[in-house]
Amino acid sequence: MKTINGLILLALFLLPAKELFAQVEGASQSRSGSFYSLFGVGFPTDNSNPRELGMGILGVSLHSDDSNTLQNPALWGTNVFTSASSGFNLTQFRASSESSNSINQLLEAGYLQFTFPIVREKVGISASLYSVTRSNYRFVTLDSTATSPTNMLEYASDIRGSGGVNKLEFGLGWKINENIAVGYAPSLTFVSQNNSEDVFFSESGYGTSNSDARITGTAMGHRFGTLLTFRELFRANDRISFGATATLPVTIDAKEKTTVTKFVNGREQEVLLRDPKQGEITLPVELNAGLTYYPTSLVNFSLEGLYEQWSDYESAFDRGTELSYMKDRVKAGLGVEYHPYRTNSTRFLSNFRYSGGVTFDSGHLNIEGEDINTLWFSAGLGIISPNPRTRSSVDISIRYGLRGTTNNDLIRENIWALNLSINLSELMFFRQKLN
Amino acid sequence: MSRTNKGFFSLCISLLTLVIIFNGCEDPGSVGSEFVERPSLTFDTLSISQTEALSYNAYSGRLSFIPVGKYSDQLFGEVDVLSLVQPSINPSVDDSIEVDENFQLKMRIQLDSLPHYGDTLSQSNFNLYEITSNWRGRSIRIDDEIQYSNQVGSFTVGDEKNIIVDLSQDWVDRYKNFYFNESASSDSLYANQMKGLALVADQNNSRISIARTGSFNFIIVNGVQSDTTDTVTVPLMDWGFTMERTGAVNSPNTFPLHSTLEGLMKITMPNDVLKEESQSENIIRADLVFYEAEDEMSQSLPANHNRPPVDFLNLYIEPDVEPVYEYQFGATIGGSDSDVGDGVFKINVTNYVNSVLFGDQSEDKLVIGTRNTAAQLRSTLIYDFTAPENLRPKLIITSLADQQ
Repeated sequence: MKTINGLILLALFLLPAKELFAQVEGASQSRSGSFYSLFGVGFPTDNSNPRELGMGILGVSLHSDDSNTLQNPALWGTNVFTSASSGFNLTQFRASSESSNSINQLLEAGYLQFTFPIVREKVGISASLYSVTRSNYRFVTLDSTATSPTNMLEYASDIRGSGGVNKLEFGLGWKINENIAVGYAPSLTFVSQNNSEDVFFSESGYGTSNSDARITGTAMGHRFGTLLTFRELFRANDRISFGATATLPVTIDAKEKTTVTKFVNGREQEVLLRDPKQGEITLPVELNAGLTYYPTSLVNFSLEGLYEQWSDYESAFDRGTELSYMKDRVKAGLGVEYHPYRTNSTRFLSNFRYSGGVTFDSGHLNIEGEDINTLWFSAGLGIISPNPRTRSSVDISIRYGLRGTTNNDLIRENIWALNLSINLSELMFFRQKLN
Repeated sequence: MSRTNKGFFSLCISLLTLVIIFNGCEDPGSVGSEFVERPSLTFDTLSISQTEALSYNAYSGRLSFIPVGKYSDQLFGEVDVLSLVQPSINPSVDDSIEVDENFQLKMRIQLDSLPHYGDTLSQSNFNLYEITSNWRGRSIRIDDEIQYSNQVGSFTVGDEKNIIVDLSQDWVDRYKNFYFNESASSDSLYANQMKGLALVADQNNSRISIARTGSFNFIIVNGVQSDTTDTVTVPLMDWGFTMERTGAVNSPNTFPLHSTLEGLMKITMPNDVLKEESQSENIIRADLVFYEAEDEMSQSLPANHNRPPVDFLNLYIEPDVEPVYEYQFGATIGGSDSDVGDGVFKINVTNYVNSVLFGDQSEDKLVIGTRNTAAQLRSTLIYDFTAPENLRPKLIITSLADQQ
């Protein structure tokens, strides 16, 4: 049974790893997601793990000494276990306007993170690769134009976006004392975004046009975090944590190369359509803060918020922005988590961790005067390893979101999102006193 | 299996199933497409310039057809065709047939269904003469000088497609000498001493017909003096034609193109302008456009007269060697749309333009022609670079609009 479980875990682990690699390479173009990822460098990514997503929160104040989180570098200093975690997100977007509907399906990798406690519950480090924004739009259109007074040329277009901004981050967390932990995470921030356009013509004399506009660039990013923990404030054995992080704005020196496939010198070649365009992409400052209260070891409540100053966003590569602009984004989540597995009950349903929450996201887009906000309802399930020597877990969250509006010919998206992560936590480099 | 493991196993299987099912449900559409910059087409017209008119004499032997006749075209001049045929002396004879020395030899012409060039209602008279000068089908060209003497026969072509022509007994007897000569040198002696027959059109003829080579043969009528009569088909050993064109009219603002290569046009492509203006454009099609002088052509054609149309133009890069062979049988870099048929020839030069912009194509001199590897005589008149602007040759560039 262990073997079967291992194989399933391996399959679930390799699937997102493959997708992740494809994303980093900008080659994942087979699936499409939110219409609103068309704008800017893509839609901001939720990098909370499924445990946090299940509660509808960011996770900046959610203390856990047995699993990974990207959200607060200060938390890495409290780690007991060496952990590796990754996952994938399966999201379905049912988009509707006043005149039409479509269904987009997106399977994408979540983050990949490793954490190592250098000094248990004192100093920990983290290495991670994750996305900051994602373009995953896709439109299929049909147009026509007159090539002569008697001839109409029809052409179909498949317009897609993929990739976005990513971070390769290394960080350090330091638990200064029982009440204070701080962390710092510098990162290599890189953009790898591809806007593709394939055009197919109804007449054979017109060759299919395959063009790719690929934006690439790198910069250094910085993120700081802190975690304040206080015990027995209101009752015995209770605990309250306050977490906050700040991600500094980053300006990426980027260039855009537009290539097309042409028949040149007797063979099909990919050629550079024009000299690469140079420019900058400025990502805004991001602030996160939250409060988590643990009245007992069985339950905890969280209230967290995010502020991103997208009004400061700039990009030399944006297209079609006359109808839209970026605005500051505020996101707030409220959630609760219940841990029956800590009761030592033998009931099957007591083996899991349950969570639920709600999130409101004001969004970072204003299109034709309409804010593109999202309301999320979340539920989560954590499967804790029964092996007392590990704290490995599989976390699953299911969320339903309502995004956008059909006012002013805009798009309303009903979103179902399934998020799954695998968190492998082991005591490594730790000599056991008894065999 | 413990209860926990059972639950975990079931959960993972369910999740995998869910992933597979959900992953196949995509139905992307056009929702929101009004917010994306949809591709649109732009059309640019560039001028091309004429460099020089070219004239060559095409190879005219061993082709699929043999033209026979003569026609005085008011526009393209008087075209006088001399058709040349030489029967084989080694026909395939069935084992059951023993060809006797008294066989008769006749010439059989089967005209193709292709329309005549000239007066479709007229009759044509021809005389057959014995060729006296050397010629070879593999190398003969339309302007080669062919000598002939001694009439061997005559025939008339009207509405019928099959014509049987009697040949003079003297010529047939000389043919028999070689036919029955079994020496190894008989073929070369035959080629040296009997050079074939020339089909000479009467001066009053006013049409050119087309005979298909495979159906143009001679027939041995065997056993004329016996009870059983057999026929043996004698295919052509060699064939070809020469042609003389005189009195062509130089119509203003136009240039002629002939399938016999007497009319070709060298043009200069605007490659510098292309590189300057279109280097960064996503060109999806480039067409060289030529307009046929339809009025001049139709007005110069009397009632019941026909001129086989040119429905295809070819584009060549000017060859360094063997231009005649290359223009007639060599590779082209483009051909006009065959389904246009409205007096407009569009030659798709997209690959050429892309090679100029993105590759190492540096040749800007191209040649327009209407080749004909089958020996059909076709001519057309194309408006040149002095014609009204809307009729001049041009290069039309179709691009996807830049969305940068």
